[in-house]
Amino acid sequence: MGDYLQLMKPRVMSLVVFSGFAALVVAPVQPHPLLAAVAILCIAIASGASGAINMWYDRDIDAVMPRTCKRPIPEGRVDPAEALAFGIVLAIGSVVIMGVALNWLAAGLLASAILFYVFVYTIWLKRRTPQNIVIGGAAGAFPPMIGWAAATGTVSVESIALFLLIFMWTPPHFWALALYRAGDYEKAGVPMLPVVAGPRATKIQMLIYTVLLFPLALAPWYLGMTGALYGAAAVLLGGLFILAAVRVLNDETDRSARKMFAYSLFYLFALFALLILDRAPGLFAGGFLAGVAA
Amino acid sequence: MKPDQANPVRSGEALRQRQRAKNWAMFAALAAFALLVYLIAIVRMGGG
Repeated sequence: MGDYLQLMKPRVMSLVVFSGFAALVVAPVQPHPLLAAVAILCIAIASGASGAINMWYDRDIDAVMPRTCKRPIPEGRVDPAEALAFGIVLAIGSVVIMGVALNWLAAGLLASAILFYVFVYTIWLKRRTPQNIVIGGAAGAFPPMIGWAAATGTVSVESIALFLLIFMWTPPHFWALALYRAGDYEKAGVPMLPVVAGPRATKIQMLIYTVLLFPLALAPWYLGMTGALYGAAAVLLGGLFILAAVRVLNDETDRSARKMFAYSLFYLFALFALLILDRAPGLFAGGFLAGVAA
Repeated sequence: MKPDQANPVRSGEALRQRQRAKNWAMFAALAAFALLVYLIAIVRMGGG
């Protein structure tokens, strides 16, 4: 059982689920609690399905890289065909259940996220271009949009703002990892930016993306989705993210890149946690922090 | 030589145990799926 759980990339799933959950909570319409739980379950299963299909396709390069060589398929603990079947069944199941339980817009977005991750990122871009995670990152940005659509049945400016937030966060997050794993990617023939353009160009790109991310992370505040708590935290967290990118730029060793990777995870979890805290119904007595902001 | 290659009987037993665990997991997943569909139907029929 553990092998199949590992196929679903549980660590990636946790961030995907959390961002989808946050959007579901902050949406202006709340579905029945059971249906909300089903929506979260569908997002989690779809994420796991995408991970399993990704591991099936990437089994050759996973076997080469030390970070991934212990995965179930390269180690021979799960048959590749079984992993593929597992992923396809879960993907179809999650989309159908989402459509039946919530609405078909959310189901369509869920299907788009899976298809984008598998076909656009994994099969098309990952081994062809150093912009793989810039474009492919869209797949990981879908969950808040799916959570929002599950609750409201619509795609709105608010959900697009959350999509863009994760979309802009993904490149500096992944490139921080790629900087200190460049040797692995080179060995596997994956053209990550540090491998193709070198560390310096990657660090400059990371800084650009963290600067572009700064106003985008504030969007939920100036769109009126949240109050001052989120706004203040987004300024602080965004400032620290830019500072981390500057430190990476000025550091010849891997140390700052490792720290930035860890911080990037904390950054996104913290932003979405604050989004929930600042908006959750009744949590702040009708949003008193919104009153403070006004 | 791996332990399973040294002892084919044990290897067969390990395989059977693995298959049995997989069958139980499949049963649990199908039961959970049926329960989920039932609960969704109840909520949707109630206007949820």
